[in-house]
Amino acid sequence: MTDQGVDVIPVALRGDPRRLRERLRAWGIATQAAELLSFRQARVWRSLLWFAARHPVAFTMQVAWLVRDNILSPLHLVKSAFVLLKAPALLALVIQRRVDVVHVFWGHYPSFVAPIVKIGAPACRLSIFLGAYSVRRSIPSQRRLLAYADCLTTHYEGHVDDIRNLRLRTETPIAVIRRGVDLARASKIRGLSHAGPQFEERLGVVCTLAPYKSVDHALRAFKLVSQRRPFLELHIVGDGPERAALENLARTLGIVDRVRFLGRLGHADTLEAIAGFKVLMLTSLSEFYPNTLKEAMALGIPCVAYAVPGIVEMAAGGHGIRLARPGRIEEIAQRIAELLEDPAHVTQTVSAADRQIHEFDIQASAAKLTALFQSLTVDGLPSAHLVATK
Amino acid sequence: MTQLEELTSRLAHRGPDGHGTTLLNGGRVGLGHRRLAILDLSPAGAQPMSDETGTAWITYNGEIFNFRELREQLRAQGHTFRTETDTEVLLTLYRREGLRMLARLRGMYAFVLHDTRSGETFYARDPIGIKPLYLRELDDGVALASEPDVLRGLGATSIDMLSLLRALMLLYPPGPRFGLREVRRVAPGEVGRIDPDGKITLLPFGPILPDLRGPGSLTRSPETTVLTDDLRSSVREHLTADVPVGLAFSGGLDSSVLARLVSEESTRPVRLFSFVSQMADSADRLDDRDVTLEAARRLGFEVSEVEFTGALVPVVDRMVGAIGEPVADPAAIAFLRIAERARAEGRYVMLSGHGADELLAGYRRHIVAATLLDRPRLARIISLAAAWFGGDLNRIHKIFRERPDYWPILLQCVLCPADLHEVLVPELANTSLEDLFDPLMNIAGDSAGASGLRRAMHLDFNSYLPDQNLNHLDKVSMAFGVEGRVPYLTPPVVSTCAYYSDAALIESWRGKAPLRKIAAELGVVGAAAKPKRGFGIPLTRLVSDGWDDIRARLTDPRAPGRMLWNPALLRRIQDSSISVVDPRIVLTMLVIDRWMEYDRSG
Repeated sequence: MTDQGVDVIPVALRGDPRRLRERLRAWGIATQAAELLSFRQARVWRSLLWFAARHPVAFTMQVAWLVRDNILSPLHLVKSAFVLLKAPALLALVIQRRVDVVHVFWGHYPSFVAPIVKIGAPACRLSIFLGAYSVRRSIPSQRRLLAYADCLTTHYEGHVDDIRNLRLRTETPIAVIRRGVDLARASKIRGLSHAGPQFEERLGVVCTLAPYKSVDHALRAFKLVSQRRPFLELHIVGDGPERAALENLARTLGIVDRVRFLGRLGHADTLEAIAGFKVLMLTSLSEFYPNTLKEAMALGIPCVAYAVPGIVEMAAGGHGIRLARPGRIEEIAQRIAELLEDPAHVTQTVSAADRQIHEFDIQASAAKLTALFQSLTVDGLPSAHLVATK
Repeated sequence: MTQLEELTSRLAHRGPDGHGTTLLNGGRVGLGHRRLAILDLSPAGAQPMSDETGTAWITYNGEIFNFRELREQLRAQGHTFRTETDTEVLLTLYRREGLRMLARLRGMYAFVLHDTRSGETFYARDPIGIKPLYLRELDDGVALASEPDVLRGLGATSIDMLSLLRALMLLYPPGPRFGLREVRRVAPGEVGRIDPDGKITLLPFGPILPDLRGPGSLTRSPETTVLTDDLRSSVREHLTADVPVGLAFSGGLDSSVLARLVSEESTRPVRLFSFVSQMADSADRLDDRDVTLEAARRLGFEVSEVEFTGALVPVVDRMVGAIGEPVADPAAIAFLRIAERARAEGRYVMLSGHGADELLAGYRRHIVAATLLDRPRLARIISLAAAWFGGDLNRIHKIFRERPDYWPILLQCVLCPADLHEVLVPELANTSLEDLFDPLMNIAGDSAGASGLRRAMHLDFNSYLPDQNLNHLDKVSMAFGVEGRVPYLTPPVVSTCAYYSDAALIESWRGKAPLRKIAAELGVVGAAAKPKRGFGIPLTRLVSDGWDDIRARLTDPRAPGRMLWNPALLRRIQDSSISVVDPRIVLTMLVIDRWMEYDRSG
């Protein structure tokens, strides 16, 4: 969007500021534009006192909702409280820098940002992104957040009806905008040759190691394929609560010396890792246009995944991604074996993916989002400012 | 008659409808075939068959059940077909895709294919091991055949004593060795390339079967309707034939569900064949005739009753001749009689419920495995208590006093290692468990870490099923030119069953819970509640009635098996006028003795 003349101010309400700067640098975004709100900053406390004094009822209500929604989860209560206390500083930023649109990635924590922004700066437009997580969880505070939205965006058509069922204001427009991948960047990496012994074959998994990703299926599928391919290795990029259990499973299956847990990598390193795979597999049973698959497709790496909603649409009729019936591990293994054994399958899959991936070009997504924001503002963008929070 | 024709004629019983031989590559490669015509009965379906270019030649045994679907796909790509056979589809697929085609096949098969362009010969066996294939490496080449008897005709053979000991303990010899050192079974799913110089290379092709060591903890057990749909599709495919079809019916759960689905899917009358007995001893635990016939009538079928008549010794001789291996399952004798009757009534295809027990935890040992294999302390305590009570419970003691990694194997054993010395001469009885269990330990090692139930099931699926159950089904039915088909054993059904959790398989101490639910949903009255009954013969009664003949056979000084048996046991047999040994052990001794005699004479 910055390439299209939109002034974007990324705002981080929580997380490690250094990591955020690294991410922004990796994406070529000037880090001085970013606002990293921290309790060490006096302006955060000043803004908080100002908002509490000026809107005591609204602030008290927000605190009451926060406690009510998280009473059974002390961890969420504390984390949400930290975000709520920083929200007035974001409001001050919106007022001072005359921000036209605040774009919120809907999660649990930004739920407390939106009401404060809308109360303090009613003219500012509020755009909310809803992903799979949001639709599935439907936490009460998140549902309340929808009442303040001027527009909703999602990346999967299948979510539109779910959102219509969730939202409170019927007239709020819902736009489907893909979470794009940087095809230009991918094409640069795609042209590079990748180091490694010629005989070695890498099968890859890139995802959070959480139960809902079913990475145990990936290990079992690898076990089935590995019996036929003596030099095949499985590289797992990502980290998460399941890691120890998955390492144990690899030992149990007798494949531990052929599975490498690479941990969480930066975005650039992740792309490099994907580019070195012969095949990327995703065995999650619940996904909607996963970025990993899009990036692999952009990098010319054939992918294998379960035929679940979202991925089926991405697969362009089963050609761009090799699909297996959900939960059928041996079919995942079979699709991988076909790709490893037959270069014609690889060529067919990659060509279909190349045709399909343009739908996910990040430039096209940015243009759509820009047009959406322009339609929300009276004067239109790109002279306006935009704040994105996550 | 050439040697190739002579060897092919040894398979005449498998294919009474035609025969053919072809010499290729300047006579260096010979293919022979005996035809049992099931699809496209015209002469156009004769084998060995070549593709239209004459470059690929095949001799093939089995059925590809999705061949019509594959043929339509190939037609859409511009291929034309001369016949209505699945063989031609195989050849066309090979020309298009090479051996990668194997992953697309759904069926039972064993074939040898020669490519005249490269001079290479390929062989493959289906991944479950429904159709048999044997291989013998010779000084000047390699020979393959559907039955070992053919390969014995290619030179001297010697007996692999360890295989016989395994057969004595398990009722079948597991793994690649079945009794002869020079001939081995081709493993289920094995695909090989034979170079022109005779070098064999194993190739990584063929469909991948699901991991039968159990689903992941996150995987939900499939809905019953999924299994019903898979079974229904499988039954529909297995009814594909241009000849009349029969169904082996025991009145138990597996065959009752199968019969119900057949009655719903078949457009032609299908006849049931039931093995009934009115001479069963109470120890034989066989259904009485009326129960089986009533179950068949409720399903609306006509039934052919097959009853065991005659003595045990001659039928054992017939069974050993048919199987060609020391396999001693009483059910094989029942199927032998059923196949004989089916052929006489013009039914050349026989459906059977084989495989359901292995896929859905249907054996009693699966209940023991689920209860005790994951609880070694409890197993040891029960083992001690069982020893104290003695009697039949002593068997539990003999199993669980051994090393835990042997437990799944010992659950399969009819004769425990501790009892070997009672039957065998000391030098054989002292064989180490490592040597005895070597082929099974290779399979068991693959399921380390899985639950006790899954370890036992994994072992059954990979040894007991192909080496014993499917082995005898194919041989005894083909001995009469009848093709045995097993609708429970298609990849979609196997795959669905692989995803049932242990708890979904065994409910209230009874296995095959998903199949019981299907039976109830299909209205198969009674079968879901019946205790397990398979095909069996009244063995206790037969041993008792035929004891004089049995005694004469086993104690005959010229009997080849005499060198194996403990002299004290032979003396007891000699001196007793009634059976003094477990009937199943008696049957195994007769089988081994006859097989050794057969080998000596054959």
